Amino acid sequence: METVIKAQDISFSYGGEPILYNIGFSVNKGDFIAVTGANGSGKSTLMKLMLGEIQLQRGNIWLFGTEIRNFKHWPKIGYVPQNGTARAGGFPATALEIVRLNLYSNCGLMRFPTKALYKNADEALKLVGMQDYSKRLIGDMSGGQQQRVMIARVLAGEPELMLLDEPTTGIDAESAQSLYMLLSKLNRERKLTIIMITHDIARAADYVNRTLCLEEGSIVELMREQILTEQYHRHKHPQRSAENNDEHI
Amino acid sequence: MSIFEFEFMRRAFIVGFILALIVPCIGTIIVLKRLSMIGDALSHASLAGVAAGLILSINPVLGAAFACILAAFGIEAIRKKIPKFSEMSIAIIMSAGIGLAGVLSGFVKNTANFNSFLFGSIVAISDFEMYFVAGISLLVLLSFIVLYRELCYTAFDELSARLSGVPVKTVNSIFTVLTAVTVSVAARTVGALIVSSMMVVPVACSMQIGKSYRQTVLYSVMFAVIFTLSGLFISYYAGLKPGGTIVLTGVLCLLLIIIIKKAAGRTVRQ
Ligand SMILES: Nc1ncnc2c1ncn2[C@@H]1O[C@H](COP(=O)(O)OP(=O)(O)OP(=O)(O)O)[C@@H](O)[C@H]1O
Ligand SMILES: [Mg+2]
Repeated sequence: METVIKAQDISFSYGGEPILYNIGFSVNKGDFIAVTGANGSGKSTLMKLMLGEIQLQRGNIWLFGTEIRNFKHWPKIGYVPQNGTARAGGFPATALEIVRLNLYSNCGLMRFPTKALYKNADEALKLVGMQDYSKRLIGDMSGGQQQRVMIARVLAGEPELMLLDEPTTGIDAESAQSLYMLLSKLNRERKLTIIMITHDIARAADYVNRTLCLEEGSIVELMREQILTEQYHRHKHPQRSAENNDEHI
Repeated sequence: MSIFEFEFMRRAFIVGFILALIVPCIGTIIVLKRLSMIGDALSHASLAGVAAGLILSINPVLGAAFACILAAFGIEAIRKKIPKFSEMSIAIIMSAGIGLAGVLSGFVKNTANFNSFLFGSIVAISDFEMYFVAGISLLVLLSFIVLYRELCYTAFDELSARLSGVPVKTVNSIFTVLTAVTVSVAARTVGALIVSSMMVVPVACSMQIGKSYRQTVLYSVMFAVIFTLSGLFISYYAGLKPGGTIVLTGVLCLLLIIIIKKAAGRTVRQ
């Protein structure tokens, strides 16, 4: 099986504070992975390391078999940042203009998109159900609609690997469901490899084939039956609430 | 006597029109990168270049262009060090520019010449300066058109642009040079103290009514042309300083647009 990402012994700290410690994992082509973990556990940091946006301090990452520092085929990777819509919201461009931006990698020498490429952009908008909004300014849309346009932008570039950082934040339950369904469909039909950071693993578990959890600097793979307990622990903090009970009752 | 019978007025209109084409193009990207004040920092640095030029008796416009390029790369370098507070880089370079200009101006013998750079002297442009402005503007305009999509994508999000294959570092460097030369030629004509408003006000107007990125760019150019030409007319017949009149025309127009938009919004809601 083809390995899309391999990470070995990576460690990372901001200043002196260690965030990730000796992490290793690999991602195979066709995987649909949910990454979870408490706030501040380093999920976004890990994703930025995989994108070469911040430099590795120890260990190594291979993307599509190439060491990350020699990797050149970035257009193979699509990235939907956390809170990406906060910045994009003020940008004076239509949904279609934003989606078309990402046709850049496929343009070739003439540097201008062909009709076929423009069709890619239209289809990407259709895939996320935003075709009727293509001429609307991104600033005049709801947060969830903006997020879908951001996803369409990435899809228009036809990536082989898609990284999403909390794509369902600020999206209603029904839209989140349809986003998972869309990702799952792309995963099956286009063999798109997907890594998605999410706090909503109980629901995402129905669609993903693996769940990774970051905790105190290390990464663990959760089995299906562990997902519900993990979710339970995260929200209930059982040990702490036991203490509280002692104090207050 | 008609306004166009004067050679200096014809020149002012030509140079003003040319600048009105390029300044808002650069301005749009600057505003979208949240660097609106960069024009101020660069134009103040350009004053230091003007002073240095006058002292060393090289052409002050060349001195200004050189100082602007240095300052622009300074801003870009500091911006990378503190990405979350990139505006700070502008303040740092601006104070350095003002300080240097202040100190150097003490050594300038011909202060009238130096003062003409503060508020510009669009009606006193030499042949050399007119061709210099025209040449630079052509270069800036061509680069802006060729790099239209790259500039838009980097302004939207540098990381996504890089992933999509845009050579972000190169594009940023080219844009830094374009900004610097634009500011330095604009500072000479409309004045160092108001070049920043020339960059931002037309963009602010067009963002009020633009319905797409393309429209925002086109309207900002349209607004800048209207402001410059009407500002020159008004200043000639009312006997006002041209640079300031151009900018005030723009600010007044922006206010009108905002008020009309608000009123229109109210009638729709009622
Ligand atoms: N630029 C930075 N400089 C210093 N510390 C940082 C920086 N970015 C993040 N951190 C710290 O690193 C830790 C991990 O941050 P990260 O954004 O990766 O968390 P996360 O798992 O994505 O959290 P969330 O669920 O809130 O998105 C946090 O404790 C954070 O305070
Ligand atoms: Mg995060």
